[in-house]
Formats: sequence, C-alpha cells, structure tokens
Amino acid sequence: MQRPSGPVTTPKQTVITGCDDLGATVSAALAEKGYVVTVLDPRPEAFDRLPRDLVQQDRIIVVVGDATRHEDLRRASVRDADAFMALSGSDSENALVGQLAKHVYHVPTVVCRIDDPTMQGMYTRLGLDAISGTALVARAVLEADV
Amino acid sequence: MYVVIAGGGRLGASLAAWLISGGHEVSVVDFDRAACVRLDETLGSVSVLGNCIEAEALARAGTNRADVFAATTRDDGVNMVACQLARHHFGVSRTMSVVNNRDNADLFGLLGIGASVDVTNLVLGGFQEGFSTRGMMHLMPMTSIDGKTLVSVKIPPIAGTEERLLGRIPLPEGTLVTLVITRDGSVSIPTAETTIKAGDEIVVVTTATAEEELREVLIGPLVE
Repeated sequence: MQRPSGPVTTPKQTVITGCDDLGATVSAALAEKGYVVTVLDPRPEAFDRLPRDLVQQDRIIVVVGDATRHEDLRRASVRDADAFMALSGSDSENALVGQLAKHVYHVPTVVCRIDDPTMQGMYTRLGLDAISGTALVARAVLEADV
Repeated sequence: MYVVIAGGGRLGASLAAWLISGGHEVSVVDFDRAACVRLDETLGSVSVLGNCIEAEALARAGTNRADVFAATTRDDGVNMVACQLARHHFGVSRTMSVVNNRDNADLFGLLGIGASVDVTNLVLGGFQEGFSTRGMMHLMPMTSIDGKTLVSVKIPPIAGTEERLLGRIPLPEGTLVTLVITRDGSVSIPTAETTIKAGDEIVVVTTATAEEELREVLIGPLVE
C-alpha cells in the first residue's frame, strides 16, 4: 500500500450528516483519502450504503442520531471537526445544521447541500458554501459537448 | 402594520388573532389545507396555502411589503430558513421566531432573528432536568451572546457545613446570585454577608460554561 510521504499528520476529521447515496459516496471517498469520517443519520439502515470494510476499520464512524439535536451533533464529534458537510435530503435541516456548525461550533470548513435555487443563492451570498445537486448537474449537462 | 406569519398551528393562529384584534393586517402561510380552511373560517381570509421555505409561497403572501415576519412552526430549520428568506430575499427588517429547541436560541440571535423559546419545551426541559440531575433547574435563557441563563439551585445538606457565608463560596466567574428564598419562604436580595443554609433555594445568573463549576461549589460533584 502506498503511504503519503512527508511528516505524519493527524488525519483530518470530517463530520457528514445524512447517509443517503450522496452522503455515503462522499464518506467513502474521503475515508479512502485518509480522512476520519463520522456519519450521522437517524436511520440505522442508511449505513448499509457504506463500504463495510471502511466501517470495520473505523475509518468511517457511524453515529445513529438526529443532526438537529445538539447532543447528537456533539456525539458525532462536531467540536473536533476540521470539516462539516450537511448532505441530508432536507434543505432546511442542512441550512440549520450547517449554520450551527459554522457559527456555534466554529468548524473551519462547512459545506451544505441546498437544492432549492433561491435558498442556495441566498446562503451563498451569506457566506455559506451551499452546493446544489440540481445546479451542478445542469451545469455539467450544459457544458457537455452536444 | 402588515405581518406575515409562517405556520398556522395553535401558536400562529393565536398570534394572528391577537394582531387582527389590534387592527393589524395579517397573512398566515401553511402547507396544510385543513389548517388554512380553519384559519379562514375563524379569522377571515388570511391564509396562504404553501410551503413557507419556498420563496414563491412567501411572495404570494406579500412578504416583500411586510413590516414584520414571524415564524411559528414546530421545526426550527423551517423557522430559520423562512426568517432568513424574509430578511435577505424579501428585505423584511424585523423577523422573529419561536425556537423549539432552546439550544438553537444562540444561533438565531447570531443570525439576527429575534428568538423566543417555546415555553412547552422549557417546562418539559425543567421536568427532564428534575429527573436527571439533582438540585439545579433552568428557569430561562437570557438573550446574550455568551449564553447567559437563569437557574434555580436548591441547596442540599453538605457534610460538615451547617451554613455558608455567600461571600466565602468560590462562585465561578460570570455567575451572580440574584435572589435567596429561604426554607420558610422569605425572599431577599443577597449580599456577601448572607448565609446560605440547606433547604434554601437560590436564583443564579450563570453561563453554559460555568454551570458545572457552579453545581460543584453549591451542591457537590454529580457522581454519588
């Protein structure tokens, strides 16, 4: 296995809320890159989407809980996080927990999935890194050679 | 004054009725058709059927000309987004919201949304604390950046101390004893010379960070 060269550093801690296909895919990709990922979702069965080996090796830590409850966010180590990604299917939940992570828990990097275009524009103007799946797919489609 | 209310449940409907009785103009946005019918039957045509986190519904409610926007739903995420849309997308300068989970009150304050903590949850929280911890009960959060809160502490008998001089108790920084209620019910504003006895109840302004230390000096550590 190839190891990164240079000084050994503590792996970056990332918290992801919402373990739908998007949350699961991002979790696996970041864990493969050497991040320690904690995934929070209220539905235990949602974690079936994660690669089993990464969970068994504790490279992805799963926490059953509600991201809108502060005690659950803290159980998911929000206080130690270098990055926080709110990726659930609910725009309002993502906006709430994303702003909690940014303004209350002071996580340095926060990314929120906001699919509603008006909300996405507003939160971008408010300084939140708000990404919209719809907008990204639309751009990819428009940029494709047709 | 024109007020747009997000959520037509019990709180939203009561607020709307109160505003109308004061001569104000009101619209209430709710996505539940039955709730809208109920509102219109009791208050005249005030309802706007729609999702209050969608700009389109808020536009239909005339949010752009609202003097005040008030969010009253059971979902803090929805309340927050609705107030932020009203403020930043429609330019409403005064927004206020009920906060269902009081842990969110600080965030709402930071975002410039006037926040009012739901009393039902506050009372429930008081009961839950009564079951889970000894002697300290949260009375109410106080609007402030550093999370000041008013707590009530029932002084238990502590081994070896009959009574303690308030000035001698090493209270953590940022806490202030505001009121002492003795066992026989007399109420006084304390000074450093006031003595605290087992069975007294004291009302203290403290902060989230100082709370554990306060508990420790007044009632002893949590572990039995």
